[in-house]
Amino acid sequence: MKIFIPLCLLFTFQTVTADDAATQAQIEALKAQIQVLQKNQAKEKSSSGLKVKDYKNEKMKSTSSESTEKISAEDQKKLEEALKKGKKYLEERNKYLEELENE
Amino acid sequence: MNKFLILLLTSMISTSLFASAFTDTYIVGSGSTYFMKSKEGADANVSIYTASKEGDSLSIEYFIESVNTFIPSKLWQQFTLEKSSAGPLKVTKGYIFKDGGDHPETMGPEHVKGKDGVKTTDFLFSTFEQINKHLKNKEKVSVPAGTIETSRYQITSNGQTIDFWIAENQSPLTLVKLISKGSIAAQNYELQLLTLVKNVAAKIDPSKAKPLSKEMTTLLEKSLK
Repeated sequence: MKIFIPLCLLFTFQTVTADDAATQAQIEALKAQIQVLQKNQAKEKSSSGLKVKDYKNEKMKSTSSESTEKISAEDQKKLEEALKKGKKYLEERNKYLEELENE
Repeated sequence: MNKFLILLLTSMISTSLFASAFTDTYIVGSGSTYFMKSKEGADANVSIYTASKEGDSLSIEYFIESVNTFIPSKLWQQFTLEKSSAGPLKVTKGYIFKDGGDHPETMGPEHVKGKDGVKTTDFLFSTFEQINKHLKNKEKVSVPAGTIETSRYQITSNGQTIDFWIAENQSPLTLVKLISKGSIAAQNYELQLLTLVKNVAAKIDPSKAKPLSKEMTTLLEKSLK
């Protein structure tokens, strides 16, 4: 029993830490996605207000990204809010884990 | 690829345009990508761009990609438009290339002819002067490519009515939006401009084309029915 409880605690701690790492990785991936989308938007030069895509002398192989690559201001706001919530959640979990460790 | 899409693209080749040095207006590699929504449920992205030009000869390439099918399908078509001595443009050559194929195939003369109904490139490869008789209104429209001032035109022929919006002050004419309504299912579809494109390299190299295969012949025959 004495061995079992610390083992359980260690396992829980490792699982929580792994969860945190995964959440952090997700946040980083989302950040990177936002950066790529913003960069793409900036690259697109407008011609009389219309979007222009430069294929740089490549053959056209797919246009499906045209429907999904765009990020609206509303979606960006939602993503930023989700990131904030994620960060706050991580901070609270870290604080709780610290408290547990100190106990 | 559904038959009505190919039908539309085939009919998009106008044979009734009059213009001197019309090729000057077109830049090789430039064009547009549209989202096409059909009542038949086979939505697709359709790109149209200039593949090459030489003298009074202009080659236009289409890239059609299905967007809501389980297995995406891709198709390229290229047509050569030539200005005859009498004035009107003629479609002289047509090529087709299906994703996964080894080489493009040469379409027969029976496959490059237009169909009855409104010929879409009666305006797409036209001038403001030629289409002004169909002008209905000036409107500001929003499409995925942006919000822009346009002129709305309307053409009715053989039971099919096409409303189309052309960007103001753009050369060549830039189709921004199109709504087609008709008595048959294949005439009911909508196009919206996703983006203008530039520096697109042509997929089809006509010098590598081989005669039309049985499979492709069947596909084209179905599309023209």
